[in-house]
Amino acid sequence: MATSLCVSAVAQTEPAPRRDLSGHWQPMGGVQALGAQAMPSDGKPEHEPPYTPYGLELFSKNRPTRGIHEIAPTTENDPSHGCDPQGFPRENLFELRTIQILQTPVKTALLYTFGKAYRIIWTDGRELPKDPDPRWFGYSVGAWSNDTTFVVRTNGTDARTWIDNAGRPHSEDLRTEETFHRVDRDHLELSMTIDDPKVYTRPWVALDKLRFTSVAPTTELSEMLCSPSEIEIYNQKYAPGARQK
Amino acid sequence: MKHRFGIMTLVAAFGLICAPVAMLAHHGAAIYDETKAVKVTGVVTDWLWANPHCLLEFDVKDDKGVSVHWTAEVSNPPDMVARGWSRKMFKPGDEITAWMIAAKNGEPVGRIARVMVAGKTYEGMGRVPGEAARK
Repeated sequence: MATSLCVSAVAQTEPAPRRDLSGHWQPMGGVQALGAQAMPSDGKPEHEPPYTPYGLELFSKNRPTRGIHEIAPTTENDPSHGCDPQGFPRENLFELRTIQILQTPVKTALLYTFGKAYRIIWTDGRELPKDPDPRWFGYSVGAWSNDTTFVVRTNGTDARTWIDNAGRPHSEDLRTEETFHRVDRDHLELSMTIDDPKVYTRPWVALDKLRFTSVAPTTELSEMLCSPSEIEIYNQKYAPGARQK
Repeated sequence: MKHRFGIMTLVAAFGLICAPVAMLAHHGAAIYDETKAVKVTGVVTDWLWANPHCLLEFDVKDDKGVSVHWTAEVSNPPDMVARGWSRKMFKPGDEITAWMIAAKNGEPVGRIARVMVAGKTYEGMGRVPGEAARK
């Protein structure tokens, strides 16, 4: 765990290169402890997702440790705390740290710091699967809508995962759309929409132009892995209340 | 022990049941009294450099000379590296002074906002209550 986060911002800004997201990108405010950046669980009515009755039923089963619905750690049930993959879209909506983006003619790969996870976004013209077997990170396809805007659609995500750290749920019918806009050489913006008619009455924006800054290509992504043995030690040594059984 | 903390009203509304101890990790700030700083001086017994949060264990003698064993957390290793902390910064026997927020229920657990060891001061997780936020 002694890896270092070597971050050095590129000094000058130049126009964005054409159809190119490759590089190392450091988000501003990517941790999102209270939930999705554009929909934090902070008690404001406009930040409450538009649940369907079924969505509200699902949400009532989730017991997050952050946000206005946060509960004591002894009763929480965040699946990622047992070292389940946090999956997608939560990978974008909690502990979003430095990412590396690699591009080939047929795919774009996103390498995430948290969980040492990666996603493959196909750009070879294929369609999303029509009846996918759910996966932790779903299935993604992407296309350029103009020279600086890359749009990614995802489906087939595993409903065991939460959308964000505030415990917002989703079904296997979830579809997301991410828009990566390379503003200039050194800045990237990411927006993301959640669309799950079973759970939400209308699509809602989870990320609204979350800003990334380019960092040096020699930046080494830190290792942030959930280790069951470390979790066990943490709980034994620390979890408040556990020591008084 | 599962109901020692004040569980928020909404939880009751949801009619929730208790989860096993294995799901205790990586909690929010609800367990802490964030209104006051707890400053203690003690002797390190262990330093766990791991996810989800690093843990410092140390013994503190109270007013009557009775040793109290504290366990206090900071953030994960990458976050702490960025703040100048390291895996080797503490060893058993080191004397430390810690500024913490502590659990509301009185247990000797806390979150370290600042620590001093070997003559050096390191900022930890969050801010010391009563002080202005760091720039």
